[in-house]
Amino acid sequence: MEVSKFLGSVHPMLVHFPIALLFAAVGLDLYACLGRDERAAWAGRLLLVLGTVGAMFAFVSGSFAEIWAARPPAYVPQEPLKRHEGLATLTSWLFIGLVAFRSFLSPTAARPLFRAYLAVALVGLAFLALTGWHGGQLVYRYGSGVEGRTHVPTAQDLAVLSQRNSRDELDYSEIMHHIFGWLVLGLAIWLAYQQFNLPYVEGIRAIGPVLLVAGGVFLMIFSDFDAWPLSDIKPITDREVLAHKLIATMMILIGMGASLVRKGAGSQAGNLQNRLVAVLALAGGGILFTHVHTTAPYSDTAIGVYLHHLSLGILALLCGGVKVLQAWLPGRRQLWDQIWILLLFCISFMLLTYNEGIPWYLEY
Amino acid sequence: MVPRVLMTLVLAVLAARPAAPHAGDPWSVTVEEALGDLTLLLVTLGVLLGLAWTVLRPAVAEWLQEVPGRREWLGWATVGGLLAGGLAWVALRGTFFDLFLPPPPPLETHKHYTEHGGVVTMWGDYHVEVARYRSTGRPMAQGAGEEYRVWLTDAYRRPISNEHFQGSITVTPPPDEARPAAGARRDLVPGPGGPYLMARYPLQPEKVVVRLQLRAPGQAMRFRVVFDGKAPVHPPDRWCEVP
Repeated sequence: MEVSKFLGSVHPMLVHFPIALLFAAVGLDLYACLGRDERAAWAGRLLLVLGTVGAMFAFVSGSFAEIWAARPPAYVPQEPLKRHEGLATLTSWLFIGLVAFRSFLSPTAARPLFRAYLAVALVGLAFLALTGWHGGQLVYRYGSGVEGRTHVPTAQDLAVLSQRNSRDELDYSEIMHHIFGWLVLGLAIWLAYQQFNLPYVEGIRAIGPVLLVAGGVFLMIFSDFDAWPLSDIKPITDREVLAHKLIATMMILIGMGASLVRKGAGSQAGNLQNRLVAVLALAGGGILFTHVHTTAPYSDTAIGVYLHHLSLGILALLCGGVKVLQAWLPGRRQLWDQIWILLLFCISFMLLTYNEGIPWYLEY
Repeated sequence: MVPRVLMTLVLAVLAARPAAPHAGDPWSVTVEEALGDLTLLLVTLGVLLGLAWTVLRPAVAEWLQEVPGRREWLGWATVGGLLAGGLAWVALRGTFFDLFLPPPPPLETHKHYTEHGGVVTMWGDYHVEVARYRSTGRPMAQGAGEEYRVWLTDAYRRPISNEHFQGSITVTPPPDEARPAAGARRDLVPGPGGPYLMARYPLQPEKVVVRLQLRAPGQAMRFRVVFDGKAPVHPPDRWCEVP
């Protein structure tokens, strides 16, 4: 619990990073476009990535802050909290999309696309400012995080605070995470097998994409049973359902893409694959960092889920970072491959030992 | 031709409305939440599809060379477009169109149905259900007695945990209401099996007057209920005070 309170308390500190870095990034890109300056473009791209990663950390710390703000004795009203969270989701995902788009752009080679990127980036900055303004209102108007400031909660707020997941829901979620832990372990072993060039490696290469596609299809069908058939009881637009279906789609597409690229030749396919995986790791990390526990949003289970997702999200970002380094420094390919496999083993361990609630390694 | 097709699509889109409020919440989705969900969906799909294309393009080009028939290509593209459009339709209709269409009727509020066989009354958005359970067997020491349970819910009858409210109960036969006997007033304690508060008494006469005092954050409520073994004799009186 103290860890979650600490992580919530650093939210006011962390929000400065995306605000400063993203404004600077778009400013540099604007200058790069007008002045056709590749150095400014390089700096703008770097700051955009750093600012977006900062936004993810700011978001997850905000999730912890939201829980403690809504709980007694503060009882900050939930409606403005949700408004700020909605704007933060929009802003974070807009910049994740911009990072993905920007990573393939040059201000000199593709000017119309770069201008389009700048237009959307300016809209993103507007939403970033709006998100920050609403966050300030939570403090100045509602006293969020201010000691001694309390509110009288509405009956509806108390009912939402009282929501808890049933034991069946928690068990189902744990089983799903453990199944995917085994899947990731299989992928890690598959990669390690190839890394050490063990016997029958050519035949073994086909297994990885099959595992990914099979895992994606499994997740698409078996995640969120109460969302089937697609209905308003728990629609696909529910954030948790959306996150699970998007992860399933990512797995299927990565598996299909990996299978097709495997048949192709040359370093260009490998380089593209690295960039693709890097951006998808960023998107995967973004999904984990911005995951909102919609049922029982202020329960201890939600705190535990956010702690787990923070750890997994950091590992996902590290995976993306390794792939970026592999593209920039291809001379040390073997080192990056080994680190990548090690990270996959870490992720599989985290998933196999996943529990719904405060993580086992924080229980004391 | 094109404007007619577009108009038909727009009318079809407007005609498809969700039958129930978004995600089962009692109120419609907010603008910020809808835009946030929509952006999340579109960006992720765009990232996936757009970047996957950079990897899949050589393979697709090779496939096209092997199978140059335009009709087959158009057929597969149409199937893919319908699938993608169908998924987008289902995903979007619960959020994007909520913003532009009149909201569906909200879930009923202040429904005074009894969930536990008790008496329901309200104070503002709070709803209280008081239930009396009697065991008319052996003396209390051997399991007989009565139990009074109190549930608190919000305007939509969603339960509020007993962590968020406390109170006391006084049970007296009607003649003793003005001067309750010692031990008639007891503090409510959390129930073991659900989000309610409870108190236990020895077996009382069939007709009793129950007075409740409940405290929720910023609220104080008092209720009076009469139980006669069947329906309550009098409707519950209520009055409130600001702490």
